[in-house]
Amino acid sequence: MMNHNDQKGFALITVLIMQLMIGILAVSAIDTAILGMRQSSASQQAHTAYNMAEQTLLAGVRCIQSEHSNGKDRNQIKNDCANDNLALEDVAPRSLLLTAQGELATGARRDLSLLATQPFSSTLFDADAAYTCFGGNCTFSPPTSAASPGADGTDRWLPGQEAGDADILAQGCGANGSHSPPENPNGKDDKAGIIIPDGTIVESNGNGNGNGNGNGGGSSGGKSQFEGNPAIVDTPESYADNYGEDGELAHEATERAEIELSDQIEILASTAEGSEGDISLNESETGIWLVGDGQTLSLSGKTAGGTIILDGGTLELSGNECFAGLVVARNGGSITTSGTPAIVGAVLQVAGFMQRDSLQGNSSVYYSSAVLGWAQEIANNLDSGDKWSVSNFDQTVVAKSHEG
Amino acid sequence: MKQSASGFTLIELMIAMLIGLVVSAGAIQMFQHAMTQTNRANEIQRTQQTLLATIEHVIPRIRTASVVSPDPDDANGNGLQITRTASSTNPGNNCTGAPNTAGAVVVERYFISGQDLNCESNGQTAVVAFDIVSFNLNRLYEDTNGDGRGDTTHTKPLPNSGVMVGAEITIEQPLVDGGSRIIPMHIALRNNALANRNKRGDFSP
Repeated sequence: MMNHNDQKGFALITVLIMQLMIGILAVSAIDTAILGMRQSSASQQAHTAYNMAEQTLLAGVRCIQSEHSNGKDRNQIKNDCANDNLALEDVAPRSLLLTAQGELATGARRDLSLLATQPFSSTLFDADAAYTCFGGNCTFSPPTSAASPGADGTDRWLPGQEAGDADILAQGCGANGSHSPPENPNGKDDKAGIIIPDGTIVESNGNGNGNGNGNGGGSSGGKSQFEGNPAIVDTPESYADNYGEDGELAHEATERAEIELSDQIEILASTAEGSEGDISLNESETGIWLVGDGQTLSLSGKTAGGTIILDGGTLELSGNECFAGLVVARNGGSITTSGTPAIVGAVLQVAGFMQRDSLQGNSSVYYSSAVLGWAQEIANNLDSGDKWSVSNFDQTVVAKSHEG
Repeated sequence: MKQSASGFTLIELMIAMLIGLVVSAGAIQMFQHAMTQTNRANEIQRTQQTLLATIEHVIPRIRTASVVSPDPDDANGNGLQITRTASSTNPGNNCTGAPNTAGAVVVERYFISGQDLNCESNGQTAVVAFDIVSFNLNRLYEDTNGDGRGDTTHTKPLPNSGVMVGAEITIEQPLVDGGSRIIPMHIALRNNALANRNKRGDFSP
């Protein structure tokens, strides 16, 4: 028989072993729970960091828009809107990269970025005249026929265009005959035909009414090839009368305009499609094109629209082709025409353009605020008007903490 | 004395064996049940992890997308294709792990092969997740009035044009004991929504 004393302590050992087993089970359960808690805590912190970064990013965009509408320039915007959590960085001639950082004390962090793109100045797309040229070597040869104006500052629509047309090229202004664009009833009435304060208007043979540099003042007086209010601004004095405060200002204004125009052309050129060799636009093609030195841009259809930058290159128009939009030129860029083509919108340039006899036949430049607005939208590639546009929203997972 | 040392009677043994049988049958039952439960829990945890990984993979891509559409190679309109622009400063990788070119347009096509979620981009294909039965773009939310908020819901067949600001993705996973479950997921196309809201200057929190 077993002695009672032999069993002493066995219950204790059994209980200890059982406790150990239960303890191991409990610890592993606690481990699992802690892991789950860390996972959800990290996930929650990541979301919080994301939200913080997004708030910062939106505040940055709000800041840019309000600074822009207060007339601040790019550098001021960069200085004013940046803070510890938001970096603004130049990545392209007219774009800022906003990088917002959301970081928690525990180390969870999210970076968000956005590309903000400066709108093209509406002053560039709102010329004061159908044809504007600043600089001493500007020359303009009006068409030999008086049947149509060489440069007309009357605010017009495209032939066939009606108010509210989304695609203003749909009517095919070239096919419609570009020489009777209708007047825009709500148009602007203060646009000149030609502004060429330092250059010369080259009178053609047989025109007979081209002496003097005086302000034309109307379609019938002086030079019949120009219409507008005023029709002709061809001296520093007349430029100062219309756009400056005194005579001295005219040259300053011209210089300033040259610098501003050149800057704007630079910005515009950064967006344009450049290509090797000559460029031929398809029927109703729209866009921004950069025509470099020695290059030629022509229309294979009758109609095209947008913005052409002649950076030393040549725009060739013939027949009754129609280009709707803005033509800007510098560095000797020129327009060569034959037949009865038209540019509806405006032509702007800085020196050395429109060589003698470059505008032949009945070719014309018509001012159109509606077409210029449309060209600006194409350039900005958005319908946000005079606002910075945002794109390329990007989410970068930088680091993730599992600290607790 | 000798008689008192004799063993158990047959009846006693039979009763003891019967009780032992009943008890061990119950124990085996409980053990099997516990095994099934454990396996099931493991499987569920695995599918949950797969789901989480898939969501973590796809959400940032859809947020930055400009266009989402069903897989164009799928006759039934299943699958998903994401078109997005890689960051110009931090281009990252496409869904196959290959590095993106800065500022390039990245197209990522998701489709199911067997029970695996595959992704094809730039001519390469990689498996993104296992054990997914279907992965579809189910709905698109369009912003027709340009305020950055989805106001029109499109179901299949989904349109190819229009500014989409939200998408519903469905992920179908097999269940452990047969059948499957469909998990719908709603993701905002932040890139489009922000661009549209910006047009209206509407960034009030």
